[in-house]
Amino acid sequence: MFREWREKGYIMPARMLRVTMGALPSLIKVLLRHPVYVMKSNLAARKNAVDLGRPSYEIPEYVEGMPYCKSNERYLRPTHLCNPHAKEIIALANHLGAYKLPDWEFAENVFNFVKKNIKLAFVGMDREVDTLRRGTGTCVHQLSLFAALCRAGGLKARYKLYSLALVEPLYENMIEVSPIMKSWYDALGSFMLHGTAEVYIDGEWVVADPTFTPEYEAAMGLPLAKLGDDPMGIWNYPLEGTVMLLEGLPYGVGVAWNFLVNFLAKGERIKIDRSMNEARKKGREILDEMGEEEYDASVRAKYEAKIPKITLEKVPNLVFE
Amino acid sequence: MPVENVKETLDEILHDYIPSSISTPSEKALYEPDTFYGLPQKKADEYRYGAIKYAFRHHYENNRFYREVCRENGVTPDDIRSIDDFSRIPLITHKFFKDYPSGRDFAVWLANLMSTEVPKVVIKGKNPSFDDVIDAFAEAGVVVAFSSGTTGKFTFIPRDAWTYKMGQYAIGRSAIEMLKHWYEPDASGFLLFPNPKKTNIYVGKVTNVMYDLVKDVQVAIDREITTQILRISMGVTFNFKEKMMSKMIKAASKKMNEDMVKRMVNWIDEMYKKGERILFAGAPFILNMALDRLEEEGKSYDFGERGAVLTGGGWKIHEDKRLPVEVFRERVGKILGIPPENCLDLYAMVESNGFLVHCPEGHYFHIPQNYFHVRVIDDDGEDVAYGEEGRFAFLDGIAMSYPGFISTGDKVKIHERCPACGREGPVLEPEVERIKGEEIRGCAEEMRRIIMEE
Ligand SMILES: [Zn+2]
Repeated sequence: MFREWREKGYIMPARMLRVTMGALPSLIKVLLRHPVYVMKSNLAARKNAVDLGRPSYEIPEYVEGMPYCKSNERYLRPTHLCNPHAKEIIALANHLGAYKLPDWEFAENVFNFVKKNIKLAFVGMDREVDTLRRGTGTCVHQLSLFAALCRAGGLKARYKLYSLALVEPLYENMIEVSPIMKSWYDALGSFMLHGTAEVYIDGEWVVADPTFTPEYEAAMGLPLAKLGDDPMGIWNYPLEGTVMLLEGLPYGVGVAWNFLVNFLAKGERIKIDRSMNEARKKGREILDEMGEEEYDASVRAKYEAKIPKITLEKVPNLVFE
Repeated sequence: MPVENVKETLDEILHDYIPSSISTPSEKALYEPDTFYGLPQKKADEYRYGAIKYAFRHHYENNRFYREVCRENGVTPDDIRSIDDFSRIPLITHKFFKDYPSGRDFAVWLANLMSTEVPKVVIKGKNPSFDDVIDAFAEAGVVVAFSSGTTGKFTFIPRDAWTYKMGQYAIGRSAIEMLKHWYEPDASGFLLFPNPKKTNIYVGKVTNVMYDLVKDVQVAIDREITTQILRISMGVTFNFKEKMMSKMIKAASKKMNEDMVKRMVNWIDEMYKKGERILFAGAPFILNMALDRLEEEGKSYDFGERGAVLTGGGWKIHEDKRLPVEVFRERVGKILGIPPENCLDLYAMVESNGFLVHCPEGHYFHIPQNYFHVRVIDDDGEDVAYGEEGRFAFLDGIAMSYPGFISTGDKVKIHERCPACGREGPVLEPEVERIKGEEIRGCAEEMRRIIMEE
């Protein structure tokens, strides 16, 4: 059992502990230094909550006997906050083409569903079905939902988590709107934790980053991520040595986070959520005006030119002994 | 007495950095002019056009990777017919130089980056570290300088002997030209950076020429700094062993810093009593530590025009505190008696061989226009108008071993000409910032973390 626990990632890996614990002291320092500001910000939040609206989709009805993957194999079985056996998950996976479409097409449907429908918001950690019902979540929520749907449809899925540095538009939109967040980020030079998912298709792990809706990407001037697009180097720069591959989230992952976003820094969290929501509205206008495909093609071209690729050719004078 | 003719004096002192025959347009642009900052615009344009056009053709013809970039952008050397065409030369993002593989592939990557012939480099071991590879290249005469940001990613730039020497000559000429009212070769220097003989960290390596420029050099940070030590100092550790190393480095720092401050304070005292001309060169916050100490002890000096301070690397002194440049100059004036016109900042980075130096009159950054072309661009890569802010990018006419056409992560403001002095050509505002969201980088930040105690 211990092995299974460890495999599933229930026990927090040392690297993750280091990443999160290493980041917390500077946050606490920042919060302690500005108690009045934080209090005011939390009070204001109570009066002025941010409304992200109802989800734009209906969750399909679960019908007894819908097929789903019952395997206890690694990356297919349920893990903490990622339950592929939940009825709503099974129903949605079936609706998105599980066991009917080829693997890639099914995975793409899952990816697009999560990406287009789940809005990024800094809510407390909870289950994949909570995310689905609410229609909002952090990147980690969205990864759990993505992984649960893939697993329900019989595709292996896992998490890839790391600390990162952000590109300028994201920094302005997410970090700078909150002085607390800004001090924290600036002290660390990076953001504590982000993740992408990976889904196993045709013998390969394919990266999936459903974090941003197309509207938000348009507002930030980013290409519209597709299944297989890695955000590394596009909008984020992972910190060396922080990348971890996990089957599941560890227990306790949400404790500090929930305390932070639901209580200690609720006001700041709402500022960031609001800022992101405003951006999504602007992004919608951009996409309506240009058309999604046209927008993506133009931005993608710009990004691809940005970091040139170098092919490693053999150099005769380099001698390896 | 300060020297009459900077070029004449330095050409004698720096003869090792000058090739026996000056033949290429890049060499001519660097070694011929009497001044780097005072050329008439037309003359500066002529030199710069020649150097950069030559460099562009050189990289196009000798660097497969850069030629591919040019092809994608549909540009060939024949398209560059005047300085106005410089905006067509494809820029490489500074991020590219952070995108390196590890192990043996790192060596292959470096070699593929180079536009000059790779000498025979022997690399031992199946999985060499960055430091192993850097040492192997050094053995073959290639200086692989590095710098690190807060994500622990390095920037690596390979300089062959030719490029390295030109860069050294350039920083010598640049610094002394703006300090010529102070300069005498028999001055003494205190380097507020790591010992260039013991590291390939760029801030260290680039100041090697100081040993030629003044008669005697003290060094603030006299320890070996490898990529591993730098990364650990930046707070990025990979395993328990490194975590322990980090603790040990931090623990040792306290004593070393105390020792460093003492040495600086004693040196100042000794130099003052002897009536020496002195130069502090390096990270401002390190000199600031000595100033703090002197202030605590209630001491002050009056070096007057005998003293000079040449800073570089950025102005962060604490995690969230910047030292305003003007405040620093005031302190230097108050405690050391060194006038503001002898207290200048130099803007440089690992990717370039262009050194922008404050003019003594107004502390604006002047560009060595004879071989270095600065562009300040917006998000679409278009040049911004004068008076506007944008991303600092440059075309380096003397980078031979790698394509020095690079856009950086720094934010600068450009003016058509200096509001304070008569030198021709555009200048940058006295302070440079990072573009928001770009990882924090800067040589002073590296230094700060290297000697951080906590
Ligand atoms: Zn000036």
